[in-house]
Amino acid sequence: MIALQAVQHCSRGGFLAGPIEHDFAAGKIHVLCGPNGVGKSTLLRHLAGLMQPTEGQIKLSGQALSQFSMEALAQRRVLLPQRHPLTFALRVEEVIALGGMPYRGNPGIKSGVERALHAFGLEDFVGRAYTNLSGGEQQRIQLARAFLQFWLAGEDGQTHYALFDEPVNGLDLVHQKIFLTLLRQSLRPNNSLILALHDLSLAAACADEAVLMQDGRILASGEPQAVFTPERIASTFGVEAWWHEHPRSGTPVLIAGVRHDAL
Amino acid sequence: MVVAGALFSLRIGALDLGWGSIMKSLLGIEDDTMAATAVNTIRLPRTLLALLAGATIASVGCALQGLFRNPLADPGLIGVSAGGAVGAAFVLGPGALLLAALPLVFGIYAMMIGAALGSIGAMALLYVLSRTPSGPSIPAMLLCGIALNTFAGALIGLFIYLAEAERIRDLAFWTLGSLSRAPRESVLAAVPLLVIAIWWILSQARALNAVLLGEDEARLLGVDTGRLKRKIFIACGLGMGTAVALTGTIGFVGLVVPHICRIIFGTDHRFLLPASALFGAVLLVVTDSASRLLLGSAELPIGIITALLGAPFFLALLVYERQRLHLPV
Repeated sequence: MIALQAVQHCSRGGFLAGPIEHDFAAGKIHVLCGPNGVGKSTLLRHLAGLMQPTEGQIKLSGQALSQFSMEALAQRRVLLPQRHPLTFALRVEEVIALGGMPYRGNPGIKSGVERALHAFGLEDFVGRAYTNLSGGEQQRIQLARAFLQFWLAGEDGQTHYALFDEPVNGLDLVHQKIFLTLLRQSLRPNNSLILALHDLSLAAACADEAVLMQDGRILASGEPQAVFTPERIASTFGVEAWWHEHPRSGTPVLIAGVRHDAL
Repeated sequence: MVVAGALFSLRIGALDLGWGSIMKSLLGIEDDTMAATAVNTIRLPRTLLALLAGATIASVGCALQGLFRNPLADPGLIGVSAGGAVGAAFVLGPGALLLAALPLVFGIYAMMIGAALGSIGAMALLYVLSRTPSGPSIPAMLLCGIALNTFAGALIGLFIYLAEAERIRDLAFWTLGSLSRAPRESVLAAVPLLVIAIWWILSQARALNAVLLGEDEARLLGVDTGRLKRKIFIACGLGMGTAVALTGTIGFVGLVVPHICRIIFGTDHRFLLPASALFGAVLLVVTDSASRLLLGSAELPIGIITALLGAPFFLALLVYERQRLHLPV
């Protein structure tokens, strides 16, 4: 479990009005939603230990995150940022293998790279330069790298977690489904997965727990249906939203966003 | 290739010696003392210097390109060599009075340390001035390089202006780069420093691979990026400073060699760095041999040759890599 205790941040690098009190329970997929610039990425960077809160603290299984060295933390958490500044022509399999960097000499790296390549349908890209691929293809490679690090983190049975900032950016529907399925399959009682997503329908579909943010605070959290009420979505995003029953399965589906006739 | 280049370099000189004589001199069994002296006290140190300086400049270029994620980070272009030249010039100029009291070996080290500090200072300045939230800014780095190069040029120009006629050629060599000015003692003193610098840079290969993903990503993978930067700065400063103190500024080797090696060996620094070091050694030893052959009896400063070859390469890079360098089209 990752616990945020009265977390605030105020510096040139980012802003969290807080004070944020929140527990990210293990064994669940948590999804952060909220308008642009609301502090989702800043919160993820705090959870990753890249930024320290100016007030309050973050604890991983009761131990303050700031007490972990970057090296130790690399074996417990994964963060895939939104943007990837890689401009050198590393080969696809070299980029993915960097996910094994915290586990030098681990025999699981090689098989993990194969597994990650297979999971994201990247076998045919082996040997090609990362820089020559499209944005969506690059995103799949970065996701594969993050999953490799995450799988290896789970090997020693300790609590671990992964943070994905806008993971479906640039992904087509097929690969969105592959990613979310893999996410669900990688969930264990001792890990948690936290995503920042913009697509509320997708968030409602894949979240065990939804977290709605506004102005550097957590506005609401809990089951998607309780968090994403039409009133709250209207006041936060200024768009209309409805919950419907899926015509075939009967499960609740969130329809949110702009309507053609309202434009 | 390295061995062939070195042997070739040993063969070339005013005195036409056969292979047999060179081998015998190296083994210390040559009877002809003139030949033995020429090989052991002139050509061998010079060849050693060419090999090590080439390896240093190329691996420094390669490491800086990786660390700054900037394919144009040539120690000459971005002012790291210039910083070293300024440092050495300070030791030579204002510091010379102090040095006169010290034994020769201290003087040699003082110049190398001055140059190393100058190089480290230049890199620290570059790092601070080019830092942006999304990574080091390439234009800022190149502009900073222009400023440093101009400053170094002005300072050396000032020394040339103030110098007596017979010292002007000595000082000009800083701006041109040459392997012929370093006395045997200096070369021997520099060998351990250059070897340490190269070895230190090569040992950072894995961390440099992670940094290519971005500085945050490297930290997320457990790399202590602060320590890595300090290590690279010190190693590159030590290497470039020592090389500059002995050879002046030899441009473009640090740019051209890593690029060619990347095309052949890929971007993984575990292979790229050693390959660059070896290729840099070969390139400089061959270029140095050429600099002694081209004009017949006189010799051309090697920096002129590397710049003549490197500048067009740099322009080609600007044309073909616009997209990747994020330069305005």
